[in-house]
Amino acid sequence: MRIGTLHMFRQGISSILDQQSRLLKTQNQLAVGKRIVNPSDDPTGSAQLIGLSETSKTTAQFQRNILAVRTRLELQDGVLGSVGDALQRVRELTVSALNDTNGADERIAIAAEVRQLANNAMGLANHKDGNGQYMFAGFQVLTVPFSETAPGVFSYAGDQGQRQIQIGPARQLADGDSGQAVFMDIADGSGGFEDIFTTLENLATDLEANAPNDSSLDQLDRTMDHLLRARASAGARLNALESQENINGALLVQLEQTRSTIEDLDYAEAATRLSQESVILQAAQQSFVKVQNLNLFNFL
Amino acid sequence: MAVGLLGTAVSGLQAFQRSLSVAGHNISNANTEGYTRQRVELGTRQPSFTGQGYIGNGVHVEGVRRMFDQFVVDRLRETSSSTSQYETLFQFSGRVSDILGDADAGLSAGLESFFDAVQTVADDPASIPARQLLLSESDSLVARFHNLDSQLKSIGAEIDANLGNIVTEINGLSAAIADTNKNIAEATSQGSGETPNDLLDKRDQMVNRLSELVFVRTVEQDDGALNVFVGSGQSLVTGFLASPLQTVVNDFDSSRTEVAIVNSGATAVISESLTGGKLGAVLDFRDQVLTPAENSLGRIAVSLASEFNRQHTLGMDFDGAPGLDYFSITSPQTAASTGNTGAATVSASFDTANMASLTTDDYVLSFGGAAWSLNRLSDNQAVAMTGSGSAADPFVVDGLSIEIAGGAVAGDRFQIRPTRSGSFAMGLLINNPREIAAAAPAAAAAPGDNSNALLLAGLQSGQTMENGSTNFQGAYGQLISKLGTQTFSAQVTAEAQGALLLQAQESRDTLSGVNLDEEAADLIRFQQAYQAIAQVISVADSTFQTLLNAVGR
Repeated sequence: MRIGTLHMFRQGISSILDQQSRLLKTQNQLAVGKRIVNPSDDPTGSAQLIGLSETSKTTAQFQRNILAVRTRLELQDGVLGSVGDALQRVRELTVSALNDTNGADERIAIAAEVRQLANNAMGLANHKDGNGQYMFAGFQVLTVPFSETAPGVFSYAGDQGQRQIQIGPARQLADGDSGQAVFMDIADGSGGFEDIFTTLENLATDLEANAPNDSSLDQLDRTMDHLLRARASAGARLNALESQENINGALLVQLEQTRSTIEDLDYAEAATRLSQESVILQAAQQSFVKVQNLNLFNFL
Repeated sequence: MAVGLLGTAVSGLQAFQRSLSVAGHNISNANTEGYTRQRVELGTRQPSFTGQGYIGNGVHVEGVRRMFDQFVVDRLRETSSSTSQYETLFQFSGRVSDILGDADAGLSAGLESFFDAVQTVADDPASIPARQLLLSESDSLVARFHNLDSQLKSIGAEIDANLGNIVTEINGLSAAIADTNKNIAEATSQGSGETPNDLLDKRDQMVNRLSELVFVRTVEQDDGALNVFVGSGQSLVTGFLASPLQTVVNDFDSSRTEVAIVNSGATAVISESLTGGKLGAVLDFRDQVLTPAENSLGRIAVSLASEFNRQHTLGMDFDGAPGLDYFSITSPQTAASTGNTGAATVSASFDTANMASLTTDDYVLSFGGAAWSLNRLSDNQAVAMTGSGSAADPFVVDGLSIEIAGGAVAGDRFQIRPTRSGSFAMGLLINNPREIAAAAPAAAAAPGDNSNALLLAGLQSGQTMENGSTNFQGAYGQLISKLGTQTFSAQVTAEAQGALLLQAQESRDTLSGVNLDEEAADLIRFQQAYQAIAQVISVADSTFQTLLNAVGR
């Protein structure tokens, strides 16, 4: 078969160019460390990467949400712990005050300390979180929730809102409890409710009147129980938070592995490919020069 | 006798001179693209009758033959047409898929940051900085939609400019082919049937270049002129006459360029029937890659804005006021054909209850005299509508609500482009962080309530697109995958066509290409023959001298 001289040239050049572009592609992959440089390298893989990136970003956001919830729940636990300590001290005072060895003067002194502790409790109930928001105000986080509107009359200006935070794709968790639930809705043993401040106020008033009352001790116990339950429920949430955090963490690892399988370059394979392609290019160049030198005119 | 020998010798001298000069011509043109190898055809001269029988009179040149095969040339044209088509398609599609698929600059990262910011508000709805962050992320998302859309639009503008340039180039070539037709016809008639080989090469080369621009078919006339047809048989060159192509404005869309042909004063749009070459690639790219990509991006913008607005207006803001529309959305584009004769006007809006059935298609709404019908622009398939088109009972189809006012005349047509300007026209309506409706509606303001923010954040995974089968980012993933596939298949086809082109060039060169070794051998052959025949002259001369000497003695 006869071959056009121009075609021989064209064929030689075209195989060199082909090989060069393959080499460039591999070199580019090695430079960025990715198997998929352009979407057309793997259209399905590119779409998968978008989905993976979305899931992993969302999961990372859930982990940040978990951190925020944990901070708040731990802060709430600390505050409620302090309130519990105050109540424990009140309880000790009340028990000793109930002892008949105490006279009116002693009881007035004890009442003063109870009032002091009640003030502390009020302060703790109006505690602000790190962002300057009231922790026990429900959704009314910018309003001071508890106040004594008249001597011995306590009111709650918050609401019963309890904020849910997304901590997993289908998992929400409350990041706190409203002041209503923690400090106001405490059963009074006869089907009604009494708030913690009124309980303390009644106790102090009775002591000041030198008429301590056994039933106020019962109410104090109910209040302490109530707070413990609130802390226990928050503690359970902290546990749930931890298990969700582990689930999210495992998912993140798995997502990263999948991403890496789809997107990342197998360096060993690519490096081998690069040297193979270099050899082929060199061969194409050398054979081109050789073939181009073969010409009958050289012998004329 | 001797005179006869001399005559024979001279005929050989002449024949081998011709052969040498043609070999020289071949060697000179060894690197001329499109040159067809020529060969001197030799034949014996008419013999002289003598009493002893017929005595040969030497050699004569029967003609200079062009080593050419129409079939091989046609195949070369076809493959060069598709190679340039798919290479162009690959280049343009690759640009679109790289722009939208970029991990940092694409939409995906923007959607993620936006919804992360919504989560941040859900975590701490009373925090003004968190709300401010959401506003600036919303702003960035809108800017990202605008930026991606304007990059697509600038490719569109480049396409239009390209169309103009290609049309000019085609017109230049077809005029030159018509001219060359004339020269060839004249040369053929003057040469009493001998073909002007180099002119034919020149014309073939021009047709080859034309094939790279658009797929053409050719028919050769008896007088040697070549007729060139384009598209579905529109004649680009007839004999000595070229019909120019022209760019014209689309009937529905003044920003869109179409290609028309001017034949005896009449202009006809032929964009749809043009295939192959750069021109076919550019038109295909616009219809099958660029416009769908713009529509898909627009659809994500419209769906996101509409879903977000729906949920946002269900909530309550920082100060206890009901939530307002968050993003601005533009209505679907509608355009009347410039050929309409009736007074009807068409307006379309989104059917917000059925946004999930919104498609990326454009439509043509046409009036048949009694009834309206709707066809998809991409494949011209009819789409069934419900309703009557009146204001009270609009046509409802694919997430759209279409209303017609005024009287239409049969044949009137309107184009509806639901999401074309979706990304470009998207805007942020809220600029005060307190207006973000993170709370559920209540009697009083509830700054710490995140109930609505949670629902807004939930929209990220909501299956609100493609008939409820995917979410915003999923729809974007589908777009990237489609663009990647289009680019990949254009690349693979371009490579395959490139290989076929190389084969076609090889088979053309096998027949028509110059081989220098062969020409070198021919040179030796003809040179030796020339030397030999020169010896014959010398022999004839010495024979004659011998005779003269004998007589003179």
